[in-house]
Amino acid sequence: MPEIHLLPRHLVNKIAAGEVIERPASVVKELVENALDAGATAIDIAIEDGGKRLISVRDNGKGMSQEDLALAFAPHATSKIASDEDLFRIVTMGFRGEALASIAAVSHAQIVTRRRDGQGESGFDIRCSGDQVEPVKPAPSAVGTVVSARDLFFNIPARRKFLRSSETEVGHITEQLSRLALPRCDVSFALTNNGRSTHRLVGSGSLNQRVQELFGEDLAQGLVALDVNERGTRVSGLLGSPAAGRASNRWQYFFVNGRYVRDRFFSHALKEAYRGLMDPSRSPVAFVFIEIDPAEVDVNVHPAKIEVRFRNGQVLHQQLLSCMRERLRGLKSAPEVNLSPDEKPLDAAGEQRRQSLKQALADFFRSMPPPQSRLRFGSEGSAERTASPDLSPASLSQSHAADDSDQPPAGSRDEWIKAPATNQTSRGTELEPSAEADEPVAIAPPEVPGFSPALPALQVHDSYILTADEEGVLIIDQHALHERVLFEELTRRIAAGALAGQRLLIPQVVSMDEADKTRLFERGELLDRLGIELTDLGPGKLALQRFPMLLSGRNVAADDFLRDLADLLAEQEHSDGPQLLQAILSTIACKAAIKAGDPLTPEEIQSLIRHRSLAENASSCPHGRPTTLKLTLAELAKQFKRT
Amino acid sequence: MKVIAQTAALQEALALASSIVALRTPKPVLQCVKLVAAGGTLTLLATDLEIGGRFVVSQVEVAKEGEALVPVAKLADIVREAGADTLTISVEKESCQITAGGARFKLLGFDPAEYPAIADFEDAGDFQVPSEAVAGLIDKTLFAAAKTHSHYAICGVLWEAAAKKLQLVATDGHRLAIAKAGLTKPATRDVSAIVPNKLMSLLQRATGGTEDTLAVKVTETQILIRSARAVLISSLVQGHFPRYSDVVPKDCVRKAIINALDFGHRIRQAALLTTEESKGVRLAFAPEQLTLTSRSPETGEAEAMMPIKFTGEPLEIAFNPAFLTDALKVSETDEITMEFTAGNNKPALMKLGQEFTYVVMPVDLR
Repeated sequence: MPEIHLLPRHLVNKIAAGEVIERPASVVKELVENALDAGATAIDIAIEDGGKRLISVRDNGKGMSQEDLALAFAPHATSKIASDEDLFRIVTMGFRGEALASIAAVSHAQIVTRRRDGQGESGFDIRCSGDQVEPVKPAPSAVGTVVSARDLFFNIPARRKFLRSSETEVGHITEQLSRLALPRCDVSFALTNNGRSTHRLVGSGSLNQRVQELFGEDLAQGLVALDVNERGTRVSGLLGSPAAGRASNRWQYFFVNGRYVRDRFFSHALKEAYRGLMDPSRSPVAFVFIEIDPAEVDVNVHPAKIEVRFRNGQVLHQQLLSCMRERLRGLKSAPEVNLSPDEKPLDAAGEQRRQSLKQALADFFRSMPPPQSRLRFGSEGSAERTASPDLSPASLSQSHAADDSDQPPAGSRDEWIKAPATNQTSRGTELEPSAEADEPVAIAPPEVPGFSPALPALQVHDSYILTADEEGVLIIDQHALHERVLFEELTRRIAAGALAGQRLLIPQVVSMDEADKTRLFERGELLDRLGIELTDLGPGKLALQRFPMLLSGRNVAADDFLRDLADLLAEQEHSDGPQLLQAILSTIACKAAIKAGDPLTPEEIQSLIRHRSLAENASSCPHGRPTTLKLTLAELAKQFKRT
Repeated sequence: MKVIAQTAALQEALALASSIVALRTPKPVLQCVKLVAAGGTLTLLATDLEIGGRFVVSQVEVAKEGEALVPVAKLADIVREAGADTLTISVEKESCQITAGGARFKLLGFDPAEYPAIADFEDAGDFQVPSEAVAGLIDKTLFAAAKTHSHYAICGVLWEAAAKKLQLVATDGHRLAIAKAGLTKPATRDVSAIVPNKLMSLLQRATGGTEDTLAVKVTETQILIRSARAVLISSLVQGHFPRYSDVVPKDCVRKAIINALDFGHRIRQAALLTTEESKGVRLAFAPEQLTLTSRSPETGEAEAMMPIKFTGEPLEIAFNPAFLTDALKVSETDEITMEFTAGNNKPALMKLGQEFTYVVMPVDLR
């Protein structure tokens, strides 16, 4: 028996389906694209059980004739292209003739259709499951086409097993809907999940309205329109203001000739356009539509057509970058650091808020245990101990409020400048990371030999702290360091149980799109550990019932936080457990930490510096940015040419 | 314009005026205070366009009536350094000359006509209330008002006047304070208005320690409050105040009678061992005893006990200690009550006197 043989047709279709139909969302994509190609102005999508049980797409397009219908499930049967030349001038969404065949190969599919032009009587019906195509039967129906696919992957159990929870699949379908509905603001879309209407998009022709319907009012606010037509290429769409950056790049949509694409050159152009206008850790919101001569772009490189190739990629990148940059330049530049965002400087409430922040910070540092007893500083000479009794870490932690001096006595200054010479031997120990990482560091802080208790410290621009250790000069980013300190406390705390959550007397209503809501509710258990409790308030809205105490005490805006959290869940969809938790804790720490622009008292500065030596990994913040820059004495000597 | 004014009285009025004026504004005119000498008194007018005030200095001799517009910070500095009991302000066109003791200052000002108009009112207003009572109400509510903007209009204190009662309500979404006081005579109409926090604290300072009666008038967009020495005007916070009566627990099945002073002390003790991440203090109510505990994983634990009278099933519930002490600090009585419905995730109802009710949400500690 020969070892090589041709594959049976149904197997070929199954294999092809594997490329085109990955999950329920791909079925939705293919069917909606067909509906759009058929000239529909209203498209209703109904799904059940995350699309696993049923996906049905109804349109009011031109419909199909009896003869066409008979070929609908045949592979590589299409009305959209006819010749080689057409392949390079594709103006329809689909063209490969694979979609329906692929869908039918992996589900129980049915098409009911009636032509709009009145030919072909009252309509027809065709069914197909797996490789069994049934003959076309007359069936009365409304004008347009309804394609439904039941029990997706019923004949590929392995693939069915890989489908995630219904909520996740709904999330993917919602995302797919956004990609399809954004470029077609003239078409109405409706999505029904298990009989409940989740989206109702009006075909008003307004992109802004569509963005609002899909992603909520907050996101739609403050978008600026872009529309440039140059060298036969039109770039239009909406750009988010640089101040409204998001924690994830999920809100960046690029469309080429109405087709959603992912392209790293586009992403790069966008990032470049916002460079200098936005915190590099944030991502801009953008909905960009590129209309280009179809001959300039090859969409036939990816079965789902999500990646495309351009004849002149570099030129397009340049053009895109320059027109976005030009548009953004007209706006007010970088967001201002505002000391008290809501109130005027003299305002009592603003002052109160600032005070409460300070108090919280002071409380925090006070709540930490006293570090090492002062005995080990004995080797540094008694002169210093008597000269600056109030500035030692030990007394600071007990009654740092009593310390109102931020200038050390002159004597101690000489001490620490001389320190490197006398403490050469101890340097090695200091550089070694704490071996007892599992020990609660706060109780037994690592020994920091030669760390003078009376270091001068100065806050500059309300953002950085200048100080020194025995090796040189330190420049500390106050936000990054505090973030690291909080992050470590949160990590310890959550390992021991759940975070404390303050309940709300009046639940806060947060508007959020369905996909994000689904993501949050899916992770109910995780939210519970974080001290968050949410209840569903119907389409696009949820109510916050409980919020982590650390954040509510700092007046962190809950809606912003929840949106960032949803972004994070979307980004880290595939990372489970510790990695995700770490990402979330670092977000919490970042929100709760003192910000650049917050003035600190001398006691707060000293406490923060002290905590630098207590933190397990003080050199970088949880996001990996450095907390501290060091200029060594050797380097200073070199710079000042003292060698 | 020419007036001879008592330095101390002028300084006091200037302090209030400068707390209104915006320090950072691109329009120099808005950094000014307007002086109006007329009818035997000197009136200082100040505004930041949201709130405004007219402060009357009666310890003056008006030699010549008139108006002036001068930078408030500089004028306040000069008056503070005057070093004499009285000083003379005379104005020629836009320059203002101040002589005090052996010093003479010439301060360049602006045309008084450029200053925004600040409303005034003469009639008796919608209701009258003793300033002392208002100061008490502000103490009991302002601390609970939201500091940041939210979905609801809670960045302010709700004033409700009807018949012979004035009620102030404030909430930040976590706790709610309701305080009531009697009016001197029935309000001429029912009033409901949300007054911004800034005006509330200004009112506290401008009328504190006096035995005035305040006349209050509320329009669609503004509140006007007149005392003997000042008129304060503010735009109202627009929007909806939550239906606060809905969140006041009704069917309380547990009730504790607690000594306020002792309670406050015990809370402060227990709060010593809370962490930054969780400031929660656990309260265990039993028939004769309240036990307060806290735990900080790195630091240690605290336990404080006190006798109470408690009826109902024993209960363990946790709170943010600051939320409790905030209210205890302004309690009217020595004995307060704390009431609970079923479960430890429902709000607690505190009565800190006949006219002072406080509702606070617990913390989930695990």
